[in-house]
Amino acid sequence: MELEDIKSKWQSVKPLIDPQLNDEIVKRSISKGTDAKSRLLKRSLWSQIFVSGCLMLLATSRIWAPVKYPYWWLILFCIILLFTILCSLRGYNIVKKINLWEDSNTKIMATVVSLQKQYRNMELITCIAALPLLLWIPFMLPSVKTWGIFFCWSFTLLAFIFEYVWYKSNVKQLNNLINWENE
Amino acid sequence: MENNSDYNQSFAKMVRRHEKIIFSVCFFYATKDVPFEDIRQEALISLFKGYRNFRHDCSESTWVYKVCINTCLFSLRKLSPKIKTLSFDQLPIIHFQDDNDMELKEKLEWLYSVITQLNPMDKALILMWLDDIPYNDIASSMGIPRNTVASRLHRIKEKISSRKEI
Repeated sequence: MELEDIKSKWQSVKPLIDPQLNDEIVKRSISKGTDAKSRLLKRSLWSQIFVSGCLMLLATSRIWAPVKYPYWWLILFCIILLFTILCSLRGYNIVKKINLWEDSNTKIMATVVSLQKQYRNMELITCIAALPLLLWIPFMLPSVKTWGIFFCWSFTLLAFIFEYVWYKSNVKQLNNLINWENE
Repeated sequence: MENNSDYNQSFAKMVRRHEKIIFSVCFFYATKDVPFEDIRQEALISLFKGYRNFRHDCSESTWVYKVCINTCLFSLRKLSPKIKTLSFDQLPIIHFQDDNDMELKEKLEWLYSVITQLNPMDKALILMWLDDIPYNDIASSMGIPRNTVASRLHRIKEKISSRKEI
């Protein structure tokens, strides 16, 4: 079978296809206005707002929280959150720069792959950095009572299980990207 | 493009001129997670947003191909956890303009089975080649050298050569 066979078949089929594209579909697209890129940017923006809120709450926690965490602990956790915000901001800018109308397929693919890798690395770094800080709470904080320790452990465990599931799904996506040629 | 109304009209005309390109790209890229209608909507929105800035560096059809393929690749990669190709029967019902369409349906089914076995980048290449887009335009759309287009087409040929004809 030659490629020309495929072409001749396509040329014979194409004129007879009715694309079923009516004015209503076009109008709906014009009025909808949000594409995959915009939705992704919006999602990234909301996650940045959420983490920024967490950062502010943590930074001011000594004023309002009943448990006073030591300054070094607060500073370290704030640095982790700040790192997350900066990485998200970088990712946001990378997505924003993707130009579906001018960039080549290869450039878009390379950008998406690097974005996914960056996201994976960010997740790994923040998890590894946050783990000892979270584990420190029930072990070292004398003012936390038994139920508080139980709460801390449960919360830490749940957070990491959730993070692990989330991370695994992202790795799956990343693997799909790497295996692009083999699909 | 003087105002929004003129722009919308001009856009609608452009879509009409290239509706078969939009259809074919979305048809061959639709998956279980990103159905045909959704992916076509994504492509139309991208075309609408980008048409204002179309600089006529290449032909309009090449540009439409580029935007549709880029949108499909981006949408699939960002939205779908795993790309699963659909069986032909799960795709939207194709309406042919002619009533005697059984042979055409078979041909399209065969084309679908051949093209969907390719990876998404090869799929983009073959779709443009099928529509006689010049090698130089394919190369610039894909971001690969012109010679690579020829060698990749050769590889695609090898990949599908084992398939039976209808």
